[in-house]
Amino acid sequence: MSGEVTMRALRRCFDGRIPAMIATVSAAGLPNITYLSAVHQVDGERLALSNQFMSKTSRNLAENPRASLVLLDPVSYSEYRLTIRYERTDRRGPVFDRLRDDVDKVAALTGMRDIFRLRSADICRVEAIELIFELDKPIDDGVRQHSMLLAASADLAGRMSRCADLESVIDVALSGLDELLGYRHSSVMLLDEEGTRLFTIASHGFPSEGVGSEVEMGDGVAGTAAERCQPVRVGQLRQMKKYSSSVRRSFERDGTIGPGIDVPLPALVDTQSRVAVPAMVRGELVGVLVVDSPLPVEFEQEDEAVLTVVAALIAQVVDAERSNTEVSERAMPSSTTADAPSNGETHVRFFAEDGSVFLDGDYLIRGVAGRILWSLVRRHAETGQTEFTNKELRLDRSLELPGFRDNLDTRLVMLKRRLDEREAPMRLERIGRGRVGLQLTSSLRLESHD
Amino acid sequence: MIQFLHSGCALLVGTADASGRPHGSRAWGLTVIDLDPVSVRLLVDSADVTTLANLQPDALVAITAASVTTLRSLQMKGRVVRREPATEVDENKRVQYTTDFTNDIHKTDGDPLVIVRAWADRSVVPCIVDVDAIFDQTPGPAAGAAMSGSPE
Repeated sequence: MSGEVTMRALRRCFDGRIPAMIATVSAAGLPNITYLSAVHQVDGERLALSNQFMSKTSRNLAENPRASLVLLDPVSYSEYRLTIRYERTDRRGPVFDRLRDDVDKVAALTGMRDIFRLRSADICRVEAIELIFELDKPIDDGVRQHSMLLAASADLAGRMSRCADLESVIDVALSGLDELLGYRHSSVMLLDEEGTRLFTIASHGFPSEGVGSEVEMGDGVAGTAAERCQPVRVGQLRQMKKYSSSVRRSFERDGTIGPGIDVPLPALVDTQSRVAVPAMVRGELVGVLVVDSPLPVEFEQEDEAVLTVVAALIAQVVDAERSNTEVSERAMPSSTTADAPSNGETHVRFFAEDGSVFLDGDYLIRGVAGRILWSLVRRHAETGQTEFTNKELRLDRSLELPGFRDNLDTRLVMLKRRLDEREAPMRLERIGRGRVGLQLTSSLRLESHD
Repeated sequence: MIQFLHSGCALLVGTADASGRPHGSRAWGLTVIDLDPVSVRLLVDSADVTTLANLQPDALVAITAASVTTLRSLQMKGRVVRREPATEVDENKRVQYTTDFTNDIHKTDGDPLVIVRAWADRSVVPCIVDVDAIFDQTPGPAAGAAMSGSPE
C-alpha cells in the first residue's frame, strides 16, 4: 500500500455523501463502471462494498478479482483512486450488519424497508492508494474540540437537574445543547401510547417548532433509532434521500411497489447531517433526541455519546413525571372559574375518528392531544370550568389513554406548545403539579363529527 | 437521451490495460457525434496517464452517465476509435459541461461552488468511441438491463 496516503485519510469518503465509483473488468476484458451506494472500512487494509443491484460488478469480481475504486472526500474534495482486490463475500457477520444498517437507513427514507435490502458485502483488500486531486488551500472542516464535550455535558446535566418540571427540563436541555455544546438544531420526540409512532414534543433552532409532527417507528433516522434502541448517525442526508428516491421510483416502474410519498422527516431545515439517540429508562424506550446540522459529515461517535447522556436524563424526567402524577393529583382538587372571552368567536371542529382539531378551518393537532383539547373546551362550554386536574382527564374515556403508563403529561406539554406556536385563541397554563388551566381570548363555537 | 448525455451529468470512464487491470476515472464532457452507429467524443483528463495509455485504438471502454439530481444513469460499452488533439470546440464543450455539472452539484448537494469548480478544473484530451451497447444503470431492480434503440 502507498506510504503517503493512509486509510485514515479516507475516513470521510466512507460516509457515503458522495458515492464511490468502481471499475471492474470481465474475463473477456470488457470494462464496467458504476456507482456504489456504500463502502465501509473493515480494517487497516480492507474495505467492504455493498451489493444490492450491482450484479455485473459481482460477476466481474468473481472472474477477475481486481478493481479500481474512486473516492471523493465530501469536505475537502480530495479525490483518491484505490487499487483493490476482491477476497470474499460476506452474507452475515458484523461487517455485513454495518453495511446493512446503511442500506436500511436509505430504504427507511422512502418506505422501502421490506424490499430494498443488502444482498452481500464484498470484502476487498486495498493494494494501493493514489491521490488524484487535492485543493491548493486546505478547507477548514470545522472539527469541534471534543475534549470540551465532557465539561459542557456536566454543565448541562447540572442545569437540567435544577428544573422543576418536564417542560422546563426539555427547554433547558435543547437550549443548553445549543449554548453549551453547539448543537444548533435539535428536537425531542416521544413514543406514543401505542408504541408505534414518535411525536415531536419540542424543538430548538428551526424556523418553526414543528410540535406535533410525527414519524412511524422504523421510518427515517429518528424512527430507525427508536426501533433499534440504538443511536443512528448520518452525514449525507441529501445524498441518501436522492438515492432512496431514485431506487423507489425504479421499484415503482418495476411494479414491485405502488407510488408513495417520501416519509416526512421531523427536521425543519435543509439538513445534511443528523444524529438520533434513543431516550431510555429502565430498559424501555421513552423517545428520541434528534440533532440536525446543515453541514455534511458533522457528527461523530463522541456526539452520540454526549447526546445519549442528555437523552437518558430527559427520559428519567418523563418517567418521574408519570410516577409523581397520581400523588400530586390527590392533594389538589380541581376548581372552576368562568373566564370572560374578550374578542371574537373561533370555530372549533373536532373529528372523533382521528382526534383531529381544526380552528377556523386550519388544522391544529390530532390524536390524543386533539382529544385532550376537545375534552377541555367541551367541559368549558358545558360548565364554565377553566381548571382541570390530570386525574379527571385520565378518567375521561374519550381520550382513549392506555390504563398503564400513559403519556398525558407529555401530551399536555406538546399541546401547550402547539397552541402557543399557533397563537391559538385558547392556551394552556400549568397551575401546579398535575393541574392545568385553560385560558380563552375568544368565545368558541364547537362542532363535533363522530 | 442525447440531451441527457450533453447535460451536466457525471461521466465515469472504465478502461483496462492489456493484462485486464481495471482503471476508473472521470470524463469532463461528452458529445454524440453520430447515431448510426452511435459514436461519441469523450473528453478525458489529460493528467490521467493510465486512462490515456489504456485508450488505444480498438480498446474496450465503459462510459457511465449519471444525473446528479436524479441519479438516472446509463452505461455505454464500446471501442476506442482514436484519440485526437483538443480543439477550441472541445474547450468550449469542457467549459459548458463543467459549468452545468458543478452547478448541478451545488444546487443538489449544496457543496460550495468555489471548491467544486476548483476540483472540476481539468485539461482534457478528446477520444472518439464507437458505442456497441447501452444499459440502464439507474439504481434499482432494472439496473443492468439493455436499452433498445439509438440514443435519440
